Amino acid sequence: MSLKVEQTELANGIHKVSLVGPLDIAGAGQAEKPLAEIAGAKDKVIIEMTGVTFLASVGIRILVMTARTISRRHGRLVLFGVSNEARRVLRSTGIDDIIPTVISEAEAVAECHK
Amino acid sequence: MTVAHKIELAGHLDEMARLNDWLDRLTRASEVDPQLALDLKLCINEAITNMISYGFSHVAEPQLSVEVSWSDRCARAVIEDNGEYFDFRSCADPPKPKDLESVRIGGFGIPLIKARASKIEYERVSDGNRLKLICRL
Repeated sequence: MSLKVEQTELANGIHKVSLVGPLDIAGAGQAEKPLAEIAGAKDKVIIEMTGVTFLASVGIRILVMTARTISRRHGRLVLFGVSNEARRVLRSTGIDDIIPTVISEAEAVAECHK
Repeated sequence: MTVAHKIELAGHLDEMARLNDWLDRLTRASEVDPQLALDLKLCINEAITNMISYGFSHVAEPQLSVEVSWSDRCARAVIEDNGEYFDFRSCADPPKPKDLESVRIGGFGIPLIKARASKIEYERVSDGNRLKLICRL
């Protein structure tokens, strides 16, 4: 199963990315290029994780690289819709302390504007 | 009765998709607890990704096998390879990240195994490594 990266431009300059599929080593490979392009061009990015069926460390690595690139341009990356399982992975590594993680899209948009 | 299932893999990262398809099929065909299956899948993924990335640099034909089995509240994996000595149990955990600038990119895999596996056993065998991972509910 492969990972899909879907992108939507929302109002107020928010760029929404939906990841659908496993964020394992194959999925991370598929997400790396589009996320790098987004990180290089967009300042306010929200990533919907609802469709992420599996999150491995290589997926965390991609999320951290994306968030760091955006942060260096004084932008913001927010995750939302994270499954309980993916949340456990983020918590185990402490990543949920450095990448804002909220429940809903509305919260993600609000967090992005902070 | 516990039934064990085994797959053999070439030691390169392209094989991870085949491994995960196999694990997902086994999980769907069994009555294993979904959380237990996910814990074991994560541990196997992290262990093998580490091994392929760092443990085969001097091996002409890197190979691995994974054997999994589960019972009511316990899932087990035995991973064998023909790679260089690699016992990650002695690796220090990275510090908890403080911010995006200081966080180390990578190094998350071994802490995830330690967090999910109830027991980790390692032995160096004649020409490789044998890693046993046990996850419990």
